[in-house]
Amino acid sequence: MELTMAGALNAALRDSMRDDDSVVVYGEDVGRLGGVFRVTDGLQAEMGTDRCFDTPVAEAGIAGTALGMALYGLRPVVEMQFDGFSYPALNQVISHVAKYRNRTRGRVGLPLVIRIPYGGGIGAVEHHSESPEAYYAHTAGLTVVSPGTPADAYALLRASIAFDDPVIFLEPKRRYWLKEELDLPVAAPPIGEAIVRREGTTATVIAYGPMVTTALEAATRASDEQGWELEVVDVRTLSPLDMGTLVASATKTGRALVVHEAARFVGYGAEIAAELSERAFGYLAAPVLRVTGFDVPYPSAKIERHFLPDADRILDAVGRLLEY
Amino acid sequence: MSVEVSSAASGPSSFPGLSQAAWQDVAAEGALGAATPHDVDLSAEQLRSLYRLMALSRRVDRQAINLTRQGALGVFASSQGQEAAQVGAVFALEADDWLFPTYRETVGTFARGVDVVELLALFSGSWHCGFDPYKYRVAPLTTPLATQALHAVGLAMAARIKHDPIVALTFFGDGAASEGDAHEALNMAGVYGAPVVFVVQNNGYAISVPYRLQTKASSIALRAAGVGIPGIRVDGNDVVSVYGAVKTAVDRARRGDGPTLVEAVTYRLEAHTTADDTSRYRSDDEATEWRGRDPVERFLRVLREGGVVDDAFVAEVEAEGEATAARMRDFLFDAPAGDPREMFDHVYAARTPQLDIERALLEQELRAAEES
Amino acid sequence: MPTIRDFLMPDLGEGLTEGEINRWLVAEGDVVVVDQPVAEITTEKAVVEVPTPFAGRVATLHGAEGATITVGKPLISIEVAVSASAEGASGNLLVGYGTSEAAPRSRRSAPLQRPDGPAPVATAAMPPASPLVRRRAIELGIDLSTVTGSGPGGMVTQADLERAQSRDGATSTSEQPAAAGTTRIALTGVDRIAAERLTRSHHEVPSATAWLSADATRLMELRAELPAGSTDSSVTPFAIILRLCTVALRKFPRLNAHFDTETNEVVRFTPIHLGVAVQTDRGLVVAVIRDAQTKSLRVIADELQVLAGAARDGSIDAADLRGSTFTVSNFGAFGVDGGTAIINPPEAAILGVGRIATRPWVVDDQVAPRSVVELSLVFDHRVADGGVAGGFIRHLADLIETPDEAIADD
Repeated sequence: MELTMAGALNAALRDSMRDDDSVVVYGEDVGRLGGVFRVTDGLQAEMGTDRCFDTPVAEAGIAGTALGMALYGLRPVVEMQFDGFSYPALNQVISHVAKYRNRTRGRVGLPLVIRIPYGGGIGAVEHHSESPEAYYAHTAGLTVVSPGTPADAYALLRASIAFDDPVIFLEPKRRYWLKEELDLPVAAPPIGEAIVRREGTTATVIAYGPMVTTALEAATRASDEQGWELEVVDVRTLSPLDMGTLVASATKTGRALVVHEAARFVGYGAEIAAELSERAFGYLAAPVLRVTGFDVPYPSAKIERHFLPDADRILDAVGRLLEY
Repeated sequence: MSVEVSSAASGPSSFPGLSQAAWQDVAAEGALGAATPHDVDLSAEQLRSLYRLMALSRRVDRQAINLTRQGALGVFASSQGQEAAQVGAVFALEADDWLFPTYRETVGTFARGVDVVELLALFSGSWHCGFDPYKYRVAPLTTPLATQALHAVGLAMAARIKHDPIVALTFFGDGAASEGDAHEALNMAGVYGAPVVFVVQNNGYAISVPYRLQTKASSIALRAAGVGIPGIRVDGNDVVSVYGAVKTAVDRARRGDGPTLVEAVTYRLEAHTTADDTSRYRSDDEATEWRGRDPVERFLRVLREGGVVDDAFVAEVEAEGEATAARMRDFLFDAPAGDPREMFDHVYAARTPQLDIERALLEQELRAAEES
Repeated sequence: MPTIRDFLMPDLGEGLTEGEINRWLVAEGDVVVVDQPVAEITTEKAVVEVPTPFAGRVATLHGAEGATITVGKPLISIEVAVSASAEGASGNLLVGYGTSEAAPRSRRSAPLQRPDGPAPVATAAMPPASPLVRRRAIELGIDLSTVTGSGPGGMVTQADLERAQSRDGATSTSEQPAAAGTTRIALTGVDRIAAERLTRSHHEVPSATAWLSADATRLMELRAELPAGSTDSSVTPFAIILRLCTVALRKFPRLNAHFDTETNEVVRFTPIHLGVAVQTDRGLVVAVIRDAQTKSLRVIADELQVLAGAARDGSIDAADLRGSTFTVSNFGAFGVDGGTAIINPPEAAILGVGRIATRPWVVDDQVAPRSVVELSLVFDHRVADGGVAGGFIRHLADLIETPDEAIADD
């Protein structure tokens, strides 16, 4: 069956809710409307308003009540409608959700999921194209997951809902309509495992979320146009990060780059570059490069294509890697 | 500079009595009604229990201040003067109900039954929360203002979904009431009819900022009308009235009729914390005036007058207070720090590979230090 | 048996480092009970009454009224009766122990290793090595795959390379066990600086050499014919060749240049500041004849003599040791024919002039003994190529063979 990523997410929510009646889904417009991207379509009709419901416009409220629900034993899966609107909830997430297990010395775990559509490339107005993954990944106590394919969207969301710690689930909204032939249910890979999407020898391209598709596109072109065989690694879980897979790949090819939409300065790629430099230093033929968005607020729709990393920029970077 | 109190509590020592409460209800259109009397059903034993809890928690509070001045606690937020507001409120809860306190509610959480040594871990620097929330059904003492109100609402919503007839009670202050989370909590509780009771202790100050600079509203209880829920304003230094008002709210929540906002007007006799200097922002006269309405003393006076307590009982409570204080000194003065390696153990359910590495690094450091 | 318990000055306000004793509320000898206020302390934030945690007799007040006590230092000592609870104290760990410096830890003997540090990869073709080491290996002609790495995760280090080098028989610069009859002389001062410059030049400059021999017979004749000058200095053949250099450089200005490695630019100079390598007791120094293109043979010869003398007796001005645009080295002074001099960075070239020796030469198809001098030009190949280098040295040789016109006015 061919499913879009949005459809896969919808199926994951439905299957999780059917399997476990402690799972509740809520947020702005997720109930009656089925979500502004239809990811929660049909859930309220099937499960009832106690299991899937709408909230007032109150992001801190959504996150804070999710904590209370998880404390009581439910598994809330809440939505921040857009990346730029997850910020009012940051205090609840950073001050409490991330710290609660540690604060209570392990007695209280919060099995909640905060779903956030993120990233650009959809021609949107301001605040709807943010890449805030670094804020979350930098916060101890949070688990941060971002699928790059429809299959992973299904599998990783199910795994996140079943996970006993809070998960920030970042959905690449520009890929919501990506299609894949899927036989559900897809087995859930463990949280915390990266995967090699495409094997190669010339250089390693490390990507997550919306850039996985871009990286694979670059790899196809690299092979056709330049005869380069790029190895593409999909990070999948940003925190905790599977450095083993990344190190093995970088060591094998000797050249690595990271690609993300988020700005370069203090971006997630810097962590990967630093870790690879420390762990694979002796095997690297070149420094670890980063292909990223610019250090500017996300631009308006008509010029966003100049901001976003694309296959050309990835290929340019591979070219630079090969100069060493 | 004084805060208006309910007209029923006129004069330093009078309050309605041991079986009568008085409070003001907020009308739906947003006006505060006149104080109305309500009968309160408290047995002699319950009344003695209330006194005991207030007196003990005051002794605990005083000992904690001393321990802070001796360096055993890093800092402490006293609730002296607010015993009636906190003890009266938690006394209205049943065993399965949940409490969501702040750092100001040492008195309230102690009265709810949390072990005093476990309770003070937050201030002693041994761990950010020293007790098991599930053991006492009390959430960790929360510092970021008003944020725990949303947790209370969420738990109450969950209980409702599961059809459990329990109530969540949360405290916050006049300062916290200005936070966005306070509004979101009140509003969401109203939308979902969540079984929550919000007890706002209006003690006149947020550290140094007086009520009149915190809000132009004449009363915090009026916000209830803004979000369509019942609101009550009560003399926070009258433990019987507080109990009566909160009991009404708790019963309403438990039978499924939704949340209530209770504003308890009181006064913080000590400084914000032991690191604060009140002379910089308020007069001694004001504190003196409020000491004249001391909730513990006036309650004791009426109990004696009513023959509910005698000297023997008072002495017994005092002795219990001294024993508790001694226990606090024994456990908290000179208390050793825990194992620093534990900082890696509760970040996640299972330590991540990265945390294993960092833990091993600290382990090396500790061993090297031991060997040298 | 009574014990003395010290009550240490607590942090009274979230990170304060000290407090002033405003007033004592007890005196030495007083009996106090637990929590009895014993002192009023003034801090940055407030005046606080401090209660004693110990009951007993006041033994010592650690300061007069008005004195400042640092957090963590004793404030008051109480003589307590020994009891079960007084024993077994952990050492008075204070909470909120101020923001003062922690006691310095003694430095660990060895750095702690990350358990997840670099790990050797069994399938790798070459052992791990940093970029620096890999470059050095190429320079030394060492095959990395034959070297065992002793660094983290099996990384090959500089020291490993040096060991491999001596293993291969080349002169090693690494630590070798001191043998009898070995003396170590550290490079210092001028020598050290010169060594650094030479090393840098050797590493960074892609140099090439062009050389040829010239017939200097006519030059020697001319020298003998020179009228006795007004000065006492004699005009050496080397001085003549220096003069001829300035002529040749005017025709090949590309060699009168520096290479700027930071900006990747060739910097050409109009004036010719001739550097002359002078051998002194303290080592080799380069004295500079400024604006040599304006100077006659006589002036150059005089200056050469003065500078060389000053360099040798150490009185030379620092200004005269700087700013050369082209350097000439007199190999003849050592009695050798030539050599590949090391470019004086950041100059583009250095000319080596060998001894003038009588050699068989071909003149008019006949073999005849002539005075022959060998010229060797080492040049930076980024700045000039063989054409330019060869052209310059050919032209210089021509001038040496027929110097008359060039120095006619001198």
